[in-house]
Amino acid sequence: MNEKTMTFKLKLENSRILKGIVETLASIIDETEFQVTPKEFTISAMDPSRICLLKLSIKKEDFDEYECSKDTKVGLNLDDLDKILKRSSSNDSVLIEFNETDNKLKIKMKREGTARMRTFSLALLDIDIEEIPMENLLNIDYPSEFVIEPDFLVEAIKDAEIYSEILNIKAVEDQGLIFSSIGQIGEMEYDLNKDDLIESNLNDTHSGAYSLTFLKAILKIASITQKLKISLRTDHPLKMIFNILEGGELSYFLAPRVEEADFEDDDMDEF
Amino acid sequence: MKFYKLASLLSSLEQTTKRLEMIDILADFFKEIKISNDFSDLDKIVYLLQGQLVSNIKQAPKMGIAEKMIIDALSLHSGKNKKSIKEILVKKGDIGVTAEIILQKMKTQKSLLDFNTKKGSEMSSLEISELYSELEKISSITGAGSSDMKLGILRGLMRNPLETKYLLRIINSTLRVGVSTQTIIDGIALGLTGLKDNKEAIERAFNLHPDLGDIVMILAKKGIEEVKKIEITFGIPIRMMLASRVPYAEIITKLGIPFIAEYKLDGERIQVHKKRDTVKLFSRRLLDVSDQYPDACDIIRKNIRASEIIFEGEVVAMDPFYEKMLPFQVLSKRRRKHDVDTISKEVPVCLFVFDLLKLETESCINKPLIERRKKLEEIVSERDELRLVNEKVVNSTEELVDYFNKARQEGNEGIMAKSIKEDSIYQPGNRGFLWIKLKGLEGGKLKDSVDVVLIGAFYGKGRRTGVYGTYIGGVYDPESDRFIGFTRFFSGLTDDLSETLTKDMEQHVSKNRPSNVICEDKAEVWFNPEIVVEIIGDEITKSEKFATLGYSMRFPVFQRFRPEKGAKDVTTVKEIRDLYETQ
Repeated sequence: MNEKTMTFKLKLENSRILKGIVETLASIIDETEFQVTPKEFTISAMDPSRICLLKLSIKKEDFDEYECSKDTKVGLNLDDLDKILKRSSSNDSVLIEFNETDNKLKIKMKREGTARMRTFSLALLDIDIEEIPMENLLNIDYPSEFVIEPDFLVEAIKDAEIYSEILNIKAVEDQGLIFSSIGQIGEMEYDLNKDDLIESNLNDTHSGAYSLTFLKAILKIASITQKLKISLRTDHPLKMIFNILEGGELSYFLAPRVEEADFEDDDMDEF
Repeated sequence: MKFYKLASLLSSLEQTTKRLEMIDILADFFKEIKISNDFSDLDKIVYLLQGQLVSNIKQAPKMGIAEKMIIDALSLHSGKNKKSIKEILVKKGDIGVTAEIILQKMKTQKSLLDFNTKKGSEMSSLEISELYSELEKISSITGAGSSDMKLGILRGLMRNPLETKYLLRIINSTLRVGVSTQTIIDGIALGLTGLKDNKEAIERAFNLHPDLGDIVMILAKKGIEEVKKIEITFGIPIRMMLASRVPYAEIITKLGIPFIAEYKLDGERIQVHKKRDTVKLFSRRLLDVSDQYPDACDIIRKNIRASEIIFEGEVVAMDPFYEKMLPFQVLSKRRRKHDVDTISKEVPVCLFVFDLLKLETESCINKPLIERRKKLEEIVSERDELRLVNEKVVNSTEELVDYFNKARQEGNEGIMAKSIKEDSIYQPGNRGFLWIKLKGLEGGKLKDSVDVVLIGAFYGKGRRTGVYGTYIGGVYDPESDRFIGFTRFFSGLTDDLSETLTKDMEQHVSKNRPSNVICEDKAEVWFNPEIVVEIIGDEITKSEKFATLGYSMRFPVFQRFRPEKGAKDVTTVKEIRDLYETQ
C-alpha cells in the first residue's frame, strides 16, 4: 500500500521555467489549484476582478520525470510557493511530490552534479474555485493574428510605462504592428513592419487598449520562451499564447479598455 | 432584477424633492414588479431605497473598504490617475458622482465575462442578487492579502457609470436616496395594492415588525390581508412608543386627571423579549444588545414569571450596593465589545420595568396602560437588579411639580407623564400626546434639552487651537429625510473632551457639505450626520442665519453624548417649532 499512496511526482531538471510561471501567476492571483492528470499538468488562474485569465498546460513528455496515479487537484498559496521556488538557482533541478495521505506538497531541490538535497514542504489549502464557463471567450474569432519574439512586447511594455497605464496595440493589414502609449508628458510609438513578424495574418485594421498593470505580469514568462502568438480584434480581449518547452503552452486573455458610449448624459460639467 | 434598473429609479428619485412625485415614481416601479410577478429581489430593493443594505433590525455587514481603496479601484477601472480622481472628489464631495463623471469620459476596463455572454461585447449589468453575494464576499474576506482581493472584487462590480455611482455610495455607506420610509410605504401601497389607503395597514405592520423588506414580500406574495395579520412576535423588536413634550402647566389639559407620572431614568431604554429560557434585549435603535447585559438577561430569566413575554424598561447603572443610580456615562462603559464579564462586575445595572407589550400568546399593546402595568406587577419579582419604575398617580399640577422635584433630587432626568384613560394604548413608533416627557420646569428659560446631530465644526482659537472649538448641530426633518442646521455651540466641552471629540470626528469628516444636510452656516469642516449630542439652552429664537429652519437656540450648552441614539432619532424640525410656540 505504501507505494500506492503517492499521487504525483513531477521533476524538471531546470527550475527556471517553473519559477517564471509561478511568479507570473502569483502576480495575478493569491491562491489557485494545480491539476495533475496522468497525461498533463495544468493551472488556470483568473484575477479576482476577472480582467485577466491565464491557462497553463505542460504535457507529461516535457517533464524529466512524471508520475501520476490518478487525477488530482491541490490548492496552493502561490505567494508562498513563489518564495520557495525563488530559493532555487537556475541549475537546480526541482522535484514536486504529493502524497495523498499528507496534506502537504513537497518541493525538493538538487544542485546539478551534487547529491545535496533541500526539501521544502508547503501546506495545502482547501480552496473553493468558482468554475467560470469560458467557451464563448475561447471561441472568439480573431481577424488579426501574428507571431513575434516576446522581447518586442517586453520592450513595448517598458516604453509605454513611461507615459501611462495603457498600452495600445494596432495591427494594420499589409503593414504591420504598432504599439503606442499617450500621456501628459508626451507619447511613444513602436512600429514593427511585416518583416519583424515571424508569422502574420492581418486583416483590416484592428486595435485595442490594454492595462499595463496586467500586461506586466507576463514579463517573466517572456524570458523563458522564444515565440509569442498574439490575436487581436478591436475592443475584444487580447489573446496571447506562449510556447512552453516542447508541447506546453500558456494562454493569456486580457479584457480591453473600451470607450463608454451607451450612456447619454450631458451633465459633464467642467470635466 | 438588474441593478441598473434600480440605479435608474434612484436617479429619477434624486431629481425631485416633491413627495407626491416620488410616490408616483415609486408606485410605477412597484407596479411593474407586480406585473412581472418576479419578487426575488423585492426586499433588497426596499432596503436599498431606505439607504441601507439590510433591514433596520439587522446589523449591516462591515465591508472594510476605505475611500482610498475605492479610489484605487476607480483608478484601475478607468485608467485615470488617483490624483485627478481625488481632485474631482474634493470638488464634488461625493464618491458616486465622482465615479459617474470619470467613467462617462474614460475608456473603462472591461471584464472577461463581458465577452462570454451570448451578446458578445454587450455590457453585463449587475444582478441585484449578484451585488449582494459579492458584497458578502467582500465583508467576509480577512487577513493578509485581503485588500487585494477586495480591490479586485470591487473593480469587477463596476459595470457602467450609473450603476457604479450608486454601488460606490452603498460601499461608502453614503447611499442616501432622500426618500423617507413613509414615502416608500405610500409608493408600495399604491404600486402593489393599487390603493394608497392601504398605507396605514403597511405602516402598522412596519411598526410591529420593522423590516420593510419582509412586509413587502408578504404583501407581494400573499396580499394586504396577510399584512394586516402581522402581530408583535418574539425576537422581532417593535418600534418603541415615543413621548411628546409640552410645558408642564399644560400637561393636565393634554392628559386629563388623573394621570400617572413615572421617573424618567438616566439609562438606556430596552425592549425585553423572553421565550422560556431565551432572553433578547433590544435597544431604541432596535439592535440586539443582549451581549452587553448578560447579567440582566440572567436576572430576567429567573425573576419573570411568564413563559413568553415582551416588555420594556430602562437599564440604569448602579453603585455596588444598588442604592444609588449612576448617570448614563457610567452605563456607556458597557458598550465595550470585549471583556463584558469584567465590566458587568464593575458596572452593575438594574432594569427598571415600565410597560408590557405581550404576555404569553396575547398582545397587550391595545390595552389601557393601567391594565398593562397591573399585569406587569404580578409577573415581576422585584429585587436589587430588577424593579418596577417608580410611579405615582397625579391629580394636580402641584402634585406634578412635587413629584418632578423629587425625581430630579434623586438623580433622574425628569419624569414621564402618561395617560391612563381608556384609550391609553401603546402606540408603536408614534410620538403622540399619550406620553409626555418633562425634563425642566423653569418658566421662560428653556431647560428642556434638545438632541442634535453634529454636522459641522470650526477650528478653535487660543487654548483650543488644533481642535474644533465650535460645532454646528442639526435637527432632523423626516419629511425630506434631511438634517437641518440649527445652532452653533461651544461651551460645556472640557479641554479633554474637545480633544477626544476632534479625534473621534475625523472618521465622520465629509469633504463637502453632505447632500442630506441643509445648513446656511458655512462650516470649516463638514461631518456626515452620525454623532448625536444633547444640548440645553435658554430659549428657542427666530433665526435668519439658519434660514431653512428659521429657528436657533440662545446660549446653547453641551450636556452629553447620546451614543444610543441614531442621527434620525434627534429632535425634529416640528419639535423645534412646537418648542418655540410653547415656550
